[in-house]
Amino acid sequence: MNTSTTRSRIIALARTDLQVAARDGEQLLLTLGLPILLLVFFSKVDIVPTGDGEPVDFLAPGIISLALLSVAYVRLAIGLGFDRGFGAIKRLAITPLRVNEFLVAKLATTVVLFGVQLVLLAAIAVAIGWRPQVSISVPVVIMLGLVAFTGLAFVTASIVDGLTSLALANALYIILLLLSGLVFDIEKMPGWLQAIVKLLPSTALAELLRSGFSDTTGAVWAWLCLSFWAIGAPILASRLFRWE
Amino acid sequence: MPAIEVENLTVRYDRPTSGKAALDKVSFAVEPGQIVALLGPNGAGKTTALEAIEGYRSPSGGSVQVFGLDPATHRSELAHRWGVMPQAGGIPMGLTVGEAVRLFSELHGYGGNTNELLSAAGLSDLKKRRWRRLSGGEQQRLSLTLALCGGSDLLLLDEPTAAVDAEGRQRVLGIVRERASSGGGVLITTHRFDDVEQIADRVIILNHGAVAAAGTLDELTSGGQEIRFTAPAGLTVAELGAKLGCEVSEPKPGNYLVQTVPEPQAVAAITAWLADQGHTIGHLQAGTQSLEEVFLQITGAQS
Repeated sequence: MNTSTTRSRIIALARTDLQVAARDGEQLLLTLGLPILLLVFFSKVDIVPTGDGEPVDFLAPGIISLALLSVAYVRLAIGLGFDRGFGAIKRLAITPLRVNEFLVAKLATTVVLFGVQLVLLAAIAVAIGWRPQVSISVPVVIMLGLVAFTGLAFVTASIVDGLTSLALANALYIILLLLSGLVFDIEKMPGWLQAIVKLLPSTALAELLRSGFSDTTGAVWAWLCLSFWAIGAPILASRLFRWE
Repeated sequence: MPAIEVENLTVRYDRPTSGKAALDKVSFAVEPGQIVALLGPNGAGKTTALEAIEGYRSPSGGSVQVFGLDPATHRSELAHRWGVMPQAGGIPMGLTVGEAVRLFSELHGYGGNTNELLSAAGLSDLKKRRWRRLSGGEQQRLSLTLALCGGSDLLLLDEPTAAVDAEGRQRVLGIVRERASSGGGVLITTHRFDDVEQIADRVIILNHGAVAAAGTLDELTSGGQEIRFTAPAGLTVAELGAKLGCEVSEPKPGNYLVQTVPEPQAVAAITAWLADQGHTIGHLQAGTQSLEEVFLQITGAQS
């Protein structure tokens, strides 16, 4: 008689995902290429408005947010889109795996992959002069961000198919990169645009990480915004998810 | 309890303009240890029937029960008891053969030895190869292997021999037969008559979404009111017809069709006539038709 448990299924799927990610390690480094380039370039070439302090103090938390967005949202949405297109999701559906287990397994993979990227990015930032004062809020903010964007990746892959998912995820990546205060300060934007971008999870994530890395608790609007997405996105994801 | 019980299953697709039922009042059952084949031309509803049994499609009418449960609402429980091979289903991106088998055996909690499954499917040497680099036949055999990682009570296979070469096909059929002989029910869809003739205990011929014929292979192929034989081409069929008092024709050169009740006297008369003329006789078939003939009669008459 076959038996598997929720725990064994989540571990099996997350372990397999990580195994493949480790084998294709160069791909993971490539996705880090752009964030590292932006971090080093704009820290050394002071052309973007980064507020009063050292550019790297503004940029490092923004770039870490960008990496989170890239691994939890873009990478996952594209992967899910392709897996669905290949009929791989449908094949998973005929195993005892349940929707929520699938979500948790993908989140677990994402947590590990982001952890690796965080260490690398932080090391580079410190090497070029970043001196963060880390608040205890940082791990909380990062978890909320990972949950929100993992959920959004599932939502994206559920409402559009394969290639569209790829295009949409990449487009959103660029838009959020420009608008969410990741590398550009939103204070320089017109008031109406600021009001809009403050509703985005990436804006709240960057804001809270910036506060967290300078040992402050962060703005209330940002906590509300990120918590809203971290609760809403997974709920929406498990509602919308289709195995086919 | 039957492994599968389908009663008056009706499935309509969501396109109201076509108004066509993809399946119309289809009924059949699969018992433990039995191999049942769904045979039919493309578009007959074979895959739709399987998907309803897998719980992907909710019936518009009738019912589907798998081990007494509704698959649409009990898929997770049933997933421990069945193994499913979907048509043209891929595997998660980037996985190798070995990784895929390990993943699916762990998801199912497969109790057996996966190396044995791989070697039975002839995939032992391809463990490190990625899905995308496998040939069509190898992908099919991997797909079957992943299905075998599932529960052993029921196997649902959608076109398991499609794109598989002759040797691979024998492996596939052998594996299926072995599963059934250890007590699992098997439902396969196919459009290959030789698959059905080799392994099926029961055949259900689907055409235009309805059951056109069902029974054991013997039931379906017996009862033909005709005798067929092969002999040199161009014999004077009218003379033989006059002698037998029935219609005789030559549908293909050297293939003769005698439309009479297949009694020993008729067979004796045919062989005597051939002997008189000094002709040899090749194949002689009395009272049975090949599955292909039955199938073509049924699907031809209805289209």
